[in-house]
Amino acid sequence: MLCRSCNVLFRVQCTSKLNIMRSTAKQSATEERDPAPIFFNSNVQQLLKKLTRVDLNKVFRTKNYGVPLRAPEYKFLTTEELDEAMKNAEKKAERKLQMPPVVKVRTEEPEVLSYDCELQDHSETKFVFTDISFGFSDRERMIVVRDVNGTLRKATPDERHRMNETYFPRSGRKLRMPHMFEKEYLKRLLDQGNYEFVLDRACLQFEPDDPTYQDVTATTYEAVERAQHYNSLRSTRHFGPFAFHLAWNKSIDSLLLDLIETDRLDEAVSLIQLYHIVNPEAKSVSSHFEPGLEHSFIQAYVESDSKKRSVLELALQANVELHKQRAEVEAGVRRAHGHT
Amino acid sequence: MPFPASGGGAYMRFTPKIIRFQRHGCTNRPFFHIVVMEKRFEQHSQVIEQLGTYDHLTNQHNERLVALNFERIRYWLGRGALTSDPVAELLGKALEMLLFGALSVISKQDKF
Repeated sequence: MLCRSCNVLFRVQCTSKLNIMRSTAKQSATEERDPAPIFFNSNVQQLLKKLTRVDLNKVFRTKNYGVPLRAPEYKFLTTEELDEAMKNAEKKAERKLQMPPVVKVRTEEPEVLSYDCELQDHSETKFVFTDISFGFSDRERMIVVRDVNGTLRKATPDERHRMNETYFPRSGRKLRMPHMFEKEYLKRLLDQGNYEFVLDRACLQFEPDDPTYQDVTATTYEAVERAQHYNSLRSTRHFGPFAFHLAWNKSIDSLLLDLIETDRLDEAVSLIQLYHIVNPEAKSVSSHFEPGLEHSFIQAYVESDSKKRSVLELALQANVELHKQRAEVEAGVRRAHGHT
Repeated sequence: MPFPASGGGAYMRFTPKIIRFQRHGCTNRPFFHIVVMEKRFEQHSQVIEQLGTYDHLTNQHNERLVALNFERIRYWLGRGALTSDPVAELLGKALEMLLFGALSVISKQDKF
């Protein structure tokens, strides 16, 4: 008898504990890391800006997006005026290259403001109320829905998008999602290499926490990565989020290889530093970068964390040889000039 | 000289004002402006100000769209404007929004 009651007690306790364990396991599996605080960190922003590699010719080039072209203006400037103009252009370029934010996919259910059972079946249709008062942005604007069952709730993101687009249309943004973001058409566009066009339009059409936006951008980034067309995104506002996406998904190896092969060691170092900040559990986190020791810093990453170790090691070796040869030539030139 | 649909009508000081619908659209396709105007004037005379719109017909998502400028509606209600019954019904359906909207206006004033 005693034994049976003990048994029952034990089972009850065990099941409750097991349930707790199961629920925590489920939570940790479903709870994804939020990239926003890391992305907006000032260090990370600086690294991303460095990786973007600003080229003013590319930033201010004309895009064929249907806007009529303006005739260029020619001016005579003194040196000071030219410096001033260049400084202004750099400021403007910085504004143009502001990166679209990388945030978590939204999941939240719309907040219910009140249950009014008296209003049940007040109408056969929902009522969507939009506050069109002056001075609110699209994200702040109050949009609520009175459902058929009488509850008053905030609008879902989809409804918000439609209402904002109905009452405050923005040129280029469409009420319905353009067909180009559907899978088959998107694939064709990416095969043709129109990455920047796709990303620009996705920025305009969607909110950054929209699941469709994140799908489209991830697909595009993967296409760029697969085709290794890194130059098509460089000097655009999308290179930062692209590099962040690679670091987030632990697949920076191809980009790193490209940087080593083109002898951009400072950028390679920035990329690895970004990787360390995004993935603090990486094995090579303990290695610190000191100016002048780029090769050993990269070597530490390649040895412990990279997935394409052999290729990267070969490229790095070639780069070391290149630097050695360059130093030798320089020393020879100095010697020839009589500086020992 | 016709006045714009959004308002511009003469404002008289001591006469009653009313917030009401004004039918626009065309035959078999009603569309209403929510306007504030002199109570004794007929519907299509000039209005003092437009405060919103109301689309009476349901759209493909089974919704009726109402746009309301709550800032101005609060102003006119505070000035003692009356409301017609259909408008009062609409405002009642969005009552919490009227209250929450007041909060958001306060936060906006803080911001600037």
